[in-house]
Amino acid sequence: MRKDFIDHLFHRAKRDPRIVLLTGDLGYNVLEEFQEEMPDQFYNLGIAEQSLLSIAAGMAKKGLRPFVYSIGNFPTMRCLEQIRNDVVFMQLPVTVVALGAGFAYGTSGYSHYLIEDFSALSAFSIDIYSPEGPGSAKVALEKVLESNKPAYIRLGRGHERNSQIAIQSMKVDEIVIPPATDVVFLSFGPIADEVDSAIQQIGEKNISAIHITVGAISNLNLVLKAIAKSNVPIITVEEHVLRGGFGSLVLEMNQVSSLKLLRIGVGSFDNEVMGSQEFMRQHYGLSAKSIEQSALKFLSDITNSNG
Amino acid sequence: MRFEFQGFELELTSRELERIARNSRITALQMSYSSKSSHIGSALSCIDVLTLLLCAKQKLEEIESGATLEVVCSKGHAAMAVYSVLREIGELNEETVLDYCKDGSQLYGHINHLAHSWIPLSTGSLGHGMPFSLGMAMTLKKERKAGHIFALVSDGELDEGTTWESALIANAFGVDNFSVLIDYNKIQSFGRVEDVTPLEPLREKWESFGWKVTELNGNSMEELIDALSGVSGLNAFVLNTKKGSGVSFMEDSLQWHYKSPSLQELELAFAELNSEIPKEAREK
Repeated sequence: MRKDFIDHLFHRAKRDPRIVLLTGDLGYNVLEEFQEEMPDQFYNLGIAEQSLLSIAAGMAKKGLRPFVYSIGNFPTMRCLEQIRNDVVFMQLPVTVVALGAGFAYGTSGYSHYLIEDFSALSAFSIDIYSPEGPGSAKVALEKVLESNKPAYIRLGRGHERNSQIAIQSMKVDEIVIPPATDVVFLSFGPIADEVDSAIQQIGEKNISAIHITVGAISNLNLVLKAIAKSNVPIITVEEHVLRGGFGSLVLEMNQVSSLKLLRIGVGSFDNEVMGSQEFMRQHYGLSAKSIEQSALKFLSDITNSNG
Repeated sequence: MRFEFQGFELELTSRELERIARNSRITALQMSYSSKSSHIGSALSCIDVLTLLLCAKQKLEEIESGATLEVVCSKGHAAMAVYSVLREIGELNEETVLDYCKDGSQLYGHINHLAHSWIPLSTGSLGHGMPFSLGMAMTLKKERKAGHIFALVSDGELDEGTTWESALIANAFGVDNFSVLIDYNKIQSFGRVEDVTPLEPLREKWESFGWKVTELNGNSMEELIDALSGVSGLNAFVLNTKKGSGVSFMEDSLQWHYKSPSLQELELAFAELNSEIPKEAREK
């Protein structure tokens, strides 16, 4: 996913000399071509993320389109004040690109997990993207380049796939929920893959579920309006803490008083449990199987309470 | 004495600049008095260098030089210094400046980029102005544009890690159009610099990071002109200054980091600067 994103950025940068890529000494096996082909548009500023963000803001002030590339917390939580003061308050077109959405860096451990970034950054006036796969990562980049605002793109790592069954809200102008729909899954980021699998299982039980990926938070309003018309239950799924997370925002933006909503994500983080992404997803109820079970229980609870 | 910038000889005399700096001090004192706001000592210590650079910027625009001169005042608490100089050179009007810290004013206690287009960055949290200015300098260099970028930082700000990150990065990238101006008034927020986090040997620190270092009296217009005329390369100017410079009882004193002058103190300060308190201020 990161490679596809950088390849696309590479092609855009070839045509637009204002695009510069700034890295905090990361990008092995990903950024080399960019560095070699466009040395004037590539800056490895070393391991100094806070300065990296402020330098990017200064570059944007002078007309460039900087993309700051690093892992997880480094260009986000570590630089929160630089993003707040120098980018967001100044409304400069700096794009922060963080790799490793959720538990993508698995056995690297907590220092590399990207599970609280949305809570922090959604407090700011910044466009937030969390594409689920390579295809929507490219769409996110196009949307960023069309705009002149601060942006944050939350990418996965390497193996993410484009969803085959979801409605990708970033790519459409209108969403229509089919009349017989029992439940709508809204996913945020690469966790969409697990949701796809869960839906296939649920479908075998004659439950009609649809999956909408919310790759761009700016599309959430459109998504919620479409769902409000049909008043179907919603399940949000995020590889992120629930507090202040994507599901919280859905709750906050919801206009339907009778909405039935289940939020699936990281309830509270357990600092004694660490492992691969697959293991961590299982631990926090984010595997396809757990999502399926949570969804079935949620829907049966609704049926019982209506019953 | 002439002042040269990027090959342009600018009509700036030390006498005229000293007059503007003195008037700016008077305006800043009045702003502090009427708003009852802090940081007058920090503003007075760096008002001379801001006078020189903002006057130079104005001249460059007048002659349509095309050369870029940007000053980022990273010590955002010296807002009164920036605003009073902009007022004295006619870039801000008196009414705007005297609304300082009034509800809804764009001029509040820490520097706001929306107050004037010559303010590249809103500051107030230390350690942001230097890397931000470095980003501007790196952009000019990349685009091969004539100019020089200045970051005015406080001595206490040198405690921030981003200062030294930026010092390393600027050197690593061969930045040759950037100067950091260190307002070395020897007092930081809660004590003397030498007692809180000593900076000495300061010259050697910057030199070992690959910067050219010039030490001077930062409250002497003649020394400032001499040091900054024809500036190029990557420089650290250590401006030996006095907190509260220009008003004897405010000089070198921590309390004027926080206090605003009473009417009586304002009168004393104005008398030292050979000025009288405007009637409106007295009647407040």
